[in-house]
Amino acid sequence: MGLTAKRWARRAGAVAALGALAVLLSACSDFNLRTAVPPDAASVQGQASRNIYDIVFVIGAAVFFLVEGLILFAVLRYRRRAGDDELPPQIHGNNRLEIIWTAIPIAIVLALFVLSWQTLNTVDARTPTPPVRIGVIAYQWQWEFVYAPDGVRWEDCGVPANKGKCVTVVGTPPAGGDRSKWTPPTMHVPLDETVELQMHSLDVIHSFYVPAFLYQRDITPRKDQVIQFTADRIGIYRGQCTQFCGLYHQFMEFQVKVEPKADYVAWLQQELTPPSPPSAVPSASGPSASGPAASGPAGSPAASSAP
Amino acid sequence: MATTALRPAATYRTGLYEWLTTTDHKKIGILYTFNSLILFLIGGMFALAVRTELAQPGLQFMTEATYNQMFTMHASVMIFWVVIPFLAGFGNYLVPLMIGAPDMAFPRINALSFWLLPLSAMIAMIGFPLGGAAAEGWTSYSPLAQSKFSTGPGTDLWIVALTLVGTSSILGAINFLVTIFKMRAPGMTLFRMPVFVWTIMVTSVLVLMGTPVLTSALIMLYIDRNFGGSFFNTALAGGNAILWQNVFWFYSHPAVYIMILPAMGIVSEVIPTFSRKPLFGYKAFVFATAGIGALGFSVWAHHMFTTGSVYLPFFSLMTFLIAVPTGVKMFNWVATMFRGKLRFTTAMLYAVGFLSLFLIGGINGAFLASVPVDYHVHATYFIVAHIHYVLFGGSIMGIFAGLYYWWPKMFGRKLNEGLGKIHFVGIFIGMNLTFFPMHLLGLSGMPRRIADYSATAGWNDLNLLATIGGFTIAVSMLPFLWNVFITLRGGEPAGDDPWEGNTLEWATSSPPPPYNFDHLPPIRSERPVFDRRHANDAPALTAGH
Repeated sequence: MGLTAKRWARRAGAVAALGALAVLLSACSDFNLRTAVPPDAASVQGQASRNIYDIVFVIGAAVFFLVEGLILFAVLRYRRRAGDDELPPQIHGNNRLEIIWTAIPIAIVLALFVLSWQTLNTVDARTPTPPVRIGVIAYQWQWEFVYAPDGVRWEDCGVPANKGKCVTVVGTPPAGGDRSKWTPPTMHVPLDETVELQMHSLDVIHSFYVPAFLYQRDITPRKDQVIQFTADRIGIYRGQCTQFCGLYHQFMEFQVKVEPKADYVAWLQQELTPPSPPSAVPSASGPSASGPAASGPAGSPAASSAP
Repeated sequence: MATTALRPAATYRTGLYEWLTTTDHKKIGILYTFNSLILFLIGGMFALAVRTELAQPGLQFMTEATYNQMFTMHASVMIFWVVIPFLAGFGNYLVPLMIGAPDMAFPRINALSFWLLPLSAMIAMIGFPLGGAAAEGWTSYSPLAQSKFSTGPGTDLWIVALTLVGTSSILGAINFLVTIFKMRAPGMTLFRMPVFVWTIMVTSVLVLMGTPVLTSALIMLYIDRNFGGSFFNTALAGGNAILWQNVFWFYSHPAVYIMILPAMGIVSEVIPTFSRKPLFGYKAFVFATAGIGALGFSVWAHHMFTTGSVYLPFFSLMTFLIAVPTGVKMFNWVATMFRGKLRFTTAMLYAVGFLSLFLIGGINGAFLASVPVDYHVHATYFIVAHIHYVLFGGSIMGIFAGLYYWWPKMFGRKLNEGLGKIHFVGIFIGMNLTFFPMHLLGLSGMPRRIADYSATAGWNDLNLLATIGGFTIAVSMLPFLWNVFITLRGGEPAGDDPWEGNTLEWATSSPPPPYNFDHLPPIRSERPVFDRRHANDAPALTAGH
């Protein structure tokens, strides 16, 4: 071997120091292992995505350790010894080896492609009659969620004839750089039911992203998007716009609240009930605005606001 | 070592006028190098601004408006004024030397290609004092880039500047292709050219076929912004925002191969020299390079998987396939080192560092080829991690390998190896500290291009770690800059061939005379200088298969 004990010790020491640093940093941090992988999926489609991610990860890690191992081995094993000026064997290639190391990667990537395509079909599958339909309006720099009852198109919620029939959820607008003065809107959805989102942008491209669903879709002006998901875990999940949309892009957050169907129905019913006469006590829990909805340009279907 | 020039080697103390008017490819290559180094520091400052702001939640140092300019100009500068020209500069310096030619085919156009770069950089930067530089991201998607949403001259200046850079690239590509096809020395068949020259050739084809598409997109955007055009302006009938993405990415995806192939070419020269063995699988490597170039034009819409406007399976398949020629190259380089006698000069450290870091960038790229995975991590910090592992861990590491390797040829003096090794260790550690945590940030859902983030999302400590890494990289540049300074003033003189290289640039003095060669060695393989050095050795030593 070309390495003295002293060199080994120095290398081992360096590695150990780096490892200790990493452990120290992770010990006193808000980072935990749950962020090392995608979040636990909260939707059926998200779980399918998580499964293919795990497969890709295992193969990626295997390739990494294999090739990195070969690099490290070569670096340690074939170091020139001091004073050795003799040429090593001048090997130009090896056809058989090269064919093998081309064929195997082709097979691996083709397998990954097929598995990914199958997963994609699951993730993007749509049923023609989803029980829940929600309109999503994106604009600089806020989200609105519109719940229209059967028989009413959410795009028509702003029409006077439909006044009081729809529920619109909108957060407070961003106020400069102060996050504490701003609340994201919460989209309520029932557990274990297929929810369809019909998404529309009023100005620039935004993107609807819920990490817990492992899913996002760009919303481009003149190209309304329709997606479906089935949430299968109770909880409140954060969401955020991922397509850079201008000055306050960083504020365009929202939440998705997955609740049992009974709770969801009760919430929707409560939102549709006309508010009781104003009292001195501010109305109930939950984020977002009361009063007139944050408005977009004329023609937006925003109607009554609700928590 | 003896010099081979009949006349004394050219010195560079020949005055400002000479540098401003030169058409000598070697001086132009040096101009490219210094221009790119200066812009690397500027682009690096923009990155430090971004990382400083993101170190902790809350907006502490700048407004969103400033932040958005910082990340936009950081990426634009690094792509168009640093990496692409750095590699073009190496091509300029080396291609004529490596093929035994006295200069490039069109020396005056060569000079024009260079001078467009500092001019266009100034045009892009003048946006800062004039109401704000471009701030829509280097990808400049519409409708955000339209005049209604991006007011002020910054975006228009950016468009003009990029059009000039594109012109510079296209002129350079024509120059390289004509030079390579028409000016090789006798005996230098295509399959005896150094691999670096092959990578410049394929890169030039990509530039020629791709850059005009970007130029047309930029002109269309300019018309939209200034003459009421409706190419991408969705507020007008017929405006199609997705069209911009298709046209933009049709160039910008091959652009990433423009940025990596010559760096791979550099690594393919450095590793064989310091392994004392030929590149393993020369022909396979050439075909892999061509394969990457061809496939590179078929994958662009993988940047658009989440738009709902793309035929997903095709682009997913092509993206998976392009991993194959790239993987083949990794194995070629590793096999070159196997059974070699490795010498770890700074250049070799950078080349091996390239292997490790580009490996990570290639693997996380394979993640992105899977559409469901991309649905999760698109436009998050996972992408930022990928970008920087391939462009920093790949291109920049390759560029530094080239700088340390060819500096003695360019200036007649070797860069100090001790300082070089400190530089390497600092960059390698800093780079991983900065960008590895970004995989985790992206997987947990942190979007990119946000000036601030929620303090309760669990991202605080990884962001701080990434900022520490960023400053580590910055600090590690100091020994390098010091090294350049002291070496130019009086470093260790290098002879013709300080590294025992293989290719023709080592067959002349350091630096070469203006006409490059007094005489050329016989060219009978891809390693003419190696062959000459070992001409009297027993055949068994130099044969092998």
